[in-house]
Amino acid sequence: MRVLLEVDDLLRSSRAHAIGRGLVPVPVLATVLCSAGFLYGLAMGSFNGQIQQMLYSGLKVPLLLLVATLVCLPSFFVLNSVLGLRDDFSAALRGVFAAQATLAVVLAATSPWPLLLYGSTTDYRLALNFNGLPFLLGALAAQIVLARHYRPLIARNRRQHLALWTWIFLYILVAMQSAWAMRPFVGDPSLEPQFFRDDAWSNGFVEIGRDLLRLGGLDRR
Amino acid sequence: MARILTDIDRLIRGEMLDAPALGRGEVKVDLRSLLRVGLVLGLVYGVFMGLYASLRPAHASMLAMVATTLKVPLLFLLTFLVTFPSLYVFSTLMGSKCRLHESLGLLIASMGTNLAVLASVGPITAFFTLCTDSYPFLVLLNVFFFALSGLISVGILSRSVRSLARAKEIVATDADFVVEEKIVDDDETDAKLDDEDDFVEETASAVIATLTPGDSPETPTDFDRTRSPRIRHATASPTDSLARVFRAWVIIYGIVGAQMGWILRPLIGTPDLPFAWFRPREGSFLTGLGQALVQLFR
Repeated sequence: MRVLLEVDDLLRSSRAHAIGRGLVPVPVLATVLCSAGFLYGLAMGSFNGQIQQMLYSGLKVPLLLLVATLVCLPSFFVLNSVLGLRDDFSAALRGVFAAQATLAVVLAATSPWPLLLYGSTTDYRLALNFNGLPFLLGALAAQIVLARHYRPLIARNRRQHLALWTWIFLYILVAMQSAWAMRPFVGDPSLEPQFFRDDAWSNGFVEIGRDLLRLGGLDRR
Repeated sequence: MARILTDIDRLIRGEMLDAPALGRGEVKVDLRSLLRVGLVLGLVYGVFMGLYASLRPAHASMLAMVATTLKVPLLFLLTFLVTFPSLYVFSTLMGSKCRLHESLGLLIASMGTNLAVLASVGPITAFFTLCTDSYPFLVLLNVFFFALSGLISVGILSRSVRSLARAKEIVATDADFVVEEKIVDDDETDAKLDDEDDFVEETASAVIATLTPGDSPETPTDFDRTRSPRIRHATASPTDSLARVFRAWVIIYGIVGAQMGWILRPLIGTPDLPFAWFRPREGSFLTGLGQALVQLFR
């Protein structure tokens, strides 16, 4: 019940999650992120109805969000300091963490969607692509929360724009590769449940680029 | 260790470059701390960059990692040694009032910032090294991070140079004005002249402080508008010339840095080649970049 109240405050950016400086409510946000991410992961990994894959995906969704955030955090901190924005760093961090938790909350809220789809089709490619939609919506919601936190910061100092966009760029860069490295999330019915694929350490951007070249007829291999 | 961390914190907060002194037209830099911190930060990024060479499937070598760790600070040092003399000479020719030690301090502070930003993206480099097998991707990622950190530090250096140049011009022009008045009025004593010089300097600082709430002047026009026509006429040209020299230097610094990186290769470690301290003299940075782009999707 307490978590739900915190989620309500998070979505409204009120009380402990209000916009501005102050302590970042890390334990609360981490709890929300992990529990909400786990819930969506369970639903996402249920395509084959295998408990093992559901648990793997349940663990990997919050892990994905945490890894992407933590890897980018040192550069975000240094960039803020170098740009002379250190005084507002706690406010920026509150926005960044709140955005991550919001993304997880949106995923949890949309977790019935893949269940509905899985109940209607056995097409693996469709299931795979469909899961992009909740992530897209979650990312948009995270952007709204982040923009809400950043609005007063940018009004105070225009350089916050640069810090914000650098964060977004680095986060997308790392999150996409993390998602690629941590797959499978849905679980190919022709393969055994796995935590990581055997070719986990290939490069997501390169693979996507090759696919696009193939689609465009530029690579005929 | 604690001292190094404190120094790094001072560096990224911009406290190693004394801002009030900059407003007075002086450059006060804690050079020794800057060099020490710069070296540490360069070594840190070197470790992250050299991680690939120590983990690659064939020819994995810890020595390659050690080599890269040493080469990153060396890359910055050599680039600095190649570009600094020309920057100083040309900027002086174009009317810069920065003394040698002031230019040196500003550039080393800028390089320190560059290395701090670079070291901060080290975990991202390590992340991609650990979860990708694409060598061309790592090359391009490193090129991007070097460029990004360079641009950020150049932006900060640019503001400092502008601030310093204007502060010096105000002090110099107003000091000339005061001296002219004194020649006419012979009764004034030298002591009073010194007092007035101090007053001019303080006024210049106050003007800069007023114009730059926590920052250096953003636009020359805003700044110039508040000054008398006499001063505006006298100071417009050298600042513009200096800005042109500085822009040219930034381009040269980028080109030299890139080529220096090529000369010092291998930095990441080509997967199918054994470790060597240096590769044969051939090609250029652009050749390597082009090859990486071509091979990326193969």
